[in-house]
Amino acid sequence: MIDPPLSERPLLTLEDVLDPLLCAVVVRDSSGRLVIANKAYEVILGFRPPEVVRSSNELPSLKVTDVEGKPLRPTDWPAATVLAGRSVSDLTLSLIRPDGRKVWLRVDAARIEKPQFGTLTVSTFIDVTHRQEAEETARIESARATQLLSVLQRLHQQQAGIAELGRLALMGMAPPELMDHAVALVDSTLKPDYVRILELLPDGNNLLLRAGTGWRPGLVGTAIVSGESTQAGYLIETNEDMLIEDFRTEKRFVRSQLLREHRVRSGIRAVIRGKNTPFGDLAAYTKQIRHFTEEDIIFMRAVANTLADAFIGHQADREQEQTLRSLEEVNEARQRLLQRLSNIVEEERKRIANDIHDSSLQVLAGLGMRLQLVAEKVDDPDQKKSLSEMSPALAEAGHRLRRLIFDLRPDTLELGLEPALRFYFEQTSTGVDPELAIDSRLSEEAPEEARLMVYRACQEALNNVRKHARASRVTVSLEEVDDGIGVLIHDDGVGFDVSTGSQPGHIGLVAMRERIQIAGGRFSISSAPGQGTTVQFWVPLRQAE
Amino acid sequence: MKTRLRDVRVLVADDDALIRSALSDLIEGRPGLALVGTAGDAESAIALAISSRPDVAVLDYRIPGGGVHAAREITRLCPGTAVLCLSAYGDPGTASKMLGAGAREFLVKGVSTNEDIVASILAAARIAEDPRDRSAVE
Repeated sequence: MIDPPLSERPLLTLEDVLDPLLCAVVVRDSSGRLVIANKAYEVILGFRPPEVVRSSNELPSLKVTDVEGKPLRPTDWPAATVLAGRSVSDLTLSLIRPDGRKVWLRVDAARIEKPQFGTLTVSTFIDVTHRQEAEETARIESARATQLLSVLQRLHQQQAGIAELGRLALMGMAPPELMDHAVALVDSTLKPDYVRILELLPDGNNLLLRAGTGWRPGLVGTAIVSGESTQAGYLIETNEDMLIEDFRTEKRFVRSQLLREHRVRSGIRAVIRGKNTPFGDLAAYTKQIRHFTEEDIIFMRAVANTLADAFIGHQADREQEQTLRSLEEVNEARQRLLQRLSNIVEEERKRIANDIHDSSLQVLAGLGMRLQLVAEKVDDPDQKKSLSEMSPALAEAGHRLRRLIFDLRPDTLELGLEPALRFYFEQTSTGVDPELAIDSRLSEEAPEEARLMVYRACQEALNNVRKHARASRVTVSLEEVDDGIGVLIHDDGVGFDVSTGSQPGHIGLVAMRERIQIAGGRFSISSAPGQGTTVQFWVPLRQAE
Repeated sequence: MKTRLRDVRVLVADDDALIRSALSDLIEGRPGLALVGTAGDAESAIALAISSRPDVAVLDYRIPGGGVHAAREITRLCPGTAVLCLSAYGDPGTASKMLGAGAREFLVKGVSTNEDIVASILAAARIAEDPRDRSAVE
């Protein structure tokens, strides 16, 4: 089947063409009479197209606004615009439909000149509500994001400020400077009229204005705020942070003299904790009513907590210093005591030695002489024999006492360390002693105290060698080292394991080490099984006071 | 060796009464020895030595005023007196000090027997008489 020619077909009307379109199309003549409107018109605009539109009165009460939301006057509507000779293309406007729904429209309009019709206007409306809403949402989201960003930036700045405060505290900045820094931080962050830090005084009731900004000159450092029924007192009592919207309507407390004087209306405060009782508080005030935010109180709390930690830390540091100092004092006192004790021991030894010498030894010697005289006069041989047998016993007793005196009071030291040590070793000989070699490179004898200390230590070491080392040779080297005497005592005996800490003669060694260290000297011992033992020590020539 | 024609005159200085009396008895009981006197301290010993010019002065190391002082002064002021040290306690330090102060010999009480003491007194007296004869001590 072949279609008939176009001219023979029934006439294609304008409605046939326009009705399927999704955009609204409306044509009016210059007097506003409707020429044609397609179906989409009613769908999009929500009302049937009026037959005549001469003024806005003939339209339902439409609220037409431009893209920025400003009302659009009827003279600026598309048809009026094109009639006035201007073009309308791609114009976006919004419209509240009679059913209350808001639609966004993209409008194009044109003027048609036809002799048989005169001047006509054609306008098209495309519903761009979805697109517009998406843009709107994007705009709102973007604005919200921008706002959020600025909040984040502010928070970041606050955090950085608090971090800096914490860093300064950690570096040991003193509390007064730290408080000034905190006040400046609150001032620059919240920009209030006043900032202050109050410190609770030891009386537990009054508070001192320790730091601040904005206050009348001369107040910081001197002004006292009574805790009685004021906010400061309330705060300290309840130990809570708070916002004060308006002091005039505040019921919990009254304004202090300080706040009244400065016409404070709003405020924000945070407690500065203390170790046991609060240190005080940190506050910011304004003369006008201001709504401080939750974010502000968080910031204030952070600053107050940083200060609190710093103060508590500072106090702990000072207490620790105090403890360290008193520990040092205790240690010094202990050293002095030990020094005195060791002097007393030495004195006591001398006293006992003198005592033995003056009484026991003399009596013993006198008795011995007397005994010999008596024995001479006795004629009976048996009596004579038994009397003469007593003499060696007395002599032996005397010998022991002399050895004891020698141990207690080494008079030989007056001759010098080397002869004294030699004499000591001979005097205390057990008959199976190792060979003693003394290598003294001392150019002059040390002062009495140092000499005695070296002598005593050597005595102890030589006794240990004799008792435990089973050595065949022991060497004592003496030399001047750094304003003191360096001593090395080495034996070729059995040695011991130093690490077990149970070396033979342990207690004697500990006492020796202690004595030398008290005198400001050094002491060490090294040994290994089968390797002999080396005792090394150094004693200063003059003891520190 | 010459034979002495007179007794050896001896001075005893010791602060211990028991020793003093034992020594006195020992000296007085020996033929050839005569006690000129006893002293309890250094100053009386020196004074007694000056006044009685003994042949031998037996000095304790630890007498009040000091045995060293007494030995030095008696040696200096009484050239004819030989000083002997008799000490209850003797270590090289003590001995060297007394010998340095002029003592001829250093004896230890309780170690030296009575006979040793007498022998030393006699030997010291011979040296005092004839300084060339030092065989008793060397």
